Amino acid sequence: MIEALLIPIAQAATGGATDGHPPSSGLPQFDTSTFSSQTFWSIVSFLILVALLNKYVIPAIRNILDARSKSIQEDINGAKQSRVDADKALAEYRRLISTARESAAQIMDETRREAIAYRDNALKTLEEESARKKAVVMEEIEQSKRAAMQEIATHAVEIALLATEKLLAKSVTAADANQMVDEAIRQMGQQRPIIH
Amino acid sequence: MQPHSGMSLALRLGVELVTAVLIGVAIGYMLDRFFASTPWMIALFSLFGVIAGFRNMYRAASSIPPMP
Amino acid sequence: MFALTATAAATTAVHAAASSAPKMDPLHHFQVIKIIPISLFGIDLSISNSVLWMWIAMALAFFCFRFALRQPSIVPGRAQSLAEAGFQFIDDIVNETIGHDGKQFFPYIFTLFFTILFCNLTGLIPGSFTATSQIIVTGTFAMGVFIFSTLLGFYRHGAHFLHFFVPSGLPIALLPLMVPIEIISYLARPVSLSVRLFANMTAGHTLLAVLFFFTATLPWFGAWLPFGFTVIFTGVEIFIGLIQAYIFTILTCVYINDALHMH
Repeated sequence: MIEALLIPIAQAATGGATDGHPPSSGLPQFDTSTFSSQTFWSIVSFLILVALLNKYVIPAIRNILDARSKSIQEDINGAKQSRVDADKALAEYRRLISTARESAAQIMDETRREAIAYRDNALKTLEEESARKKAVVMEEIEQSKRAAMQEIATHAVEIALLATEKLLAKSVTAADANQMVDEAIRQMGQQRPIIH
Repeated sequence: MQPHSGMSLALRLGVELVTAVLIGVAIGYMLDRFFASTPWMIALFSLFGVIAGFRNMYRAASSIPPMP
Repeated sequence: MFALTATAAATTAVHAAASSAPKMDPLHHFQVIKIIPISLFGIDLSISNSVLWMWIAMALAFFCFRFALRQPSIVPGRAQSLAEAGFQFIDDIVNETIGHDGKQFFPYIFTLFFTILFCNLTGLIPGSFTATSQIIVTGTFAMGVFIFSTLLGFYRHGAHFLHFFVPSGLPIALLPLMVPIEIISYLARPVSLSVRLFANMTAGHTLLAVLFFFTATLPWFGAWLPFGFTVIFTGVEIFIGLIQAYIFTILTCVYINDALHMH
């Protein structure tokens, strides 16, 4: 209706003839005889194109766009998942390392304790041994000392006997007695190496 | 791109004014013929058309975003 | 308005050049010629060059998309990226202008944009015909949008949709003034929608036709200037074709949004 109103006005405005026939000086677009076919085919073709695009083009593009946004979402999820996995693996490694460290420390501790125990043991044995040897040596020294004393006592008796003998044999002066004791002692000293 | 966008907006706005006036004139012309009241209705509705045209121009200027 | 002025200027140029030997008629580009005459119940439904080139544009649009999607993959090639960008472009317009309940109209808006875009662009091929330079074609699409959004408004809101013409918070005394203005501005929608596209296409193609005529008829030493202009204006026309398809589409979304949400 509005078009029908507009046309004569527009025709007047462009200086075209208003008798409806295509004037050479007016715009051919206002030739109403072409209107019915163009209107009809515009509507029909448009509706057909809507149907075609709606069937073959729009769903295809929408699918691609959806698939793309889905795959991007999946990538994001995958990245998140692998990060979680990596975090888990890292935690696992940390745990393993700390366990290993602990057991290493434990082993070292034990070793140290064993070494200390071994050393202490060895020291103790050594001390005992040396103490024992010292005791043996002391015993020997004591024994020889005792033997020497015995000897001395024996020789002293012999000397006394000899001296007495000589005293009895001749009357001796005091000076002679002294000389005799000295001689006896000297004799004993000469005999000493024989004792041993 | 910018000057072309301005030109197309100017084109757009000119069309808005002209068409509104044309519609006003057409309605006034019809009413005049119906009521045999020439030239009152055409005068009144031409005025309405001009106002509606400016109104549409204003609306158009604010409703058309720059082309992305 | 500007476009109409340009058309008028081109028409004047035709008159000026008409007397010279090679006849120049840039408007003959817009002449609808019947190719297959069809008549049904006395109504002319002939296939004309306009209809034929609309079909070519539509077929091109469809097969471009099918070509781009011949091997759809998650990592797109160049053609597929372009198709996806076009899809995303319309999807963004629909989402931003209408909102979430715009999804149901997406196929229509998508088709509308690419129909208009491909009609505008195929019209730039020399010897072709631009269906969108026909006021009746743009008018059909605009009326389609207008009727659709009006019915949608009444379907959604019933008689309450009439409140769309009554600005809220206005004194009763001003209503007789404002209601006709609102009605006029509402009725102007399809007209401005169709006239804008038609005028832009007509003006651009007329200008190109004139420039092309000069390039073809002038001797070689004089032809380089119009030839240069032809190249430049072809670029501008590609841009205008895109912009006009965009404006038509976004206004369609605005009108549907008005019907749905009654702003």
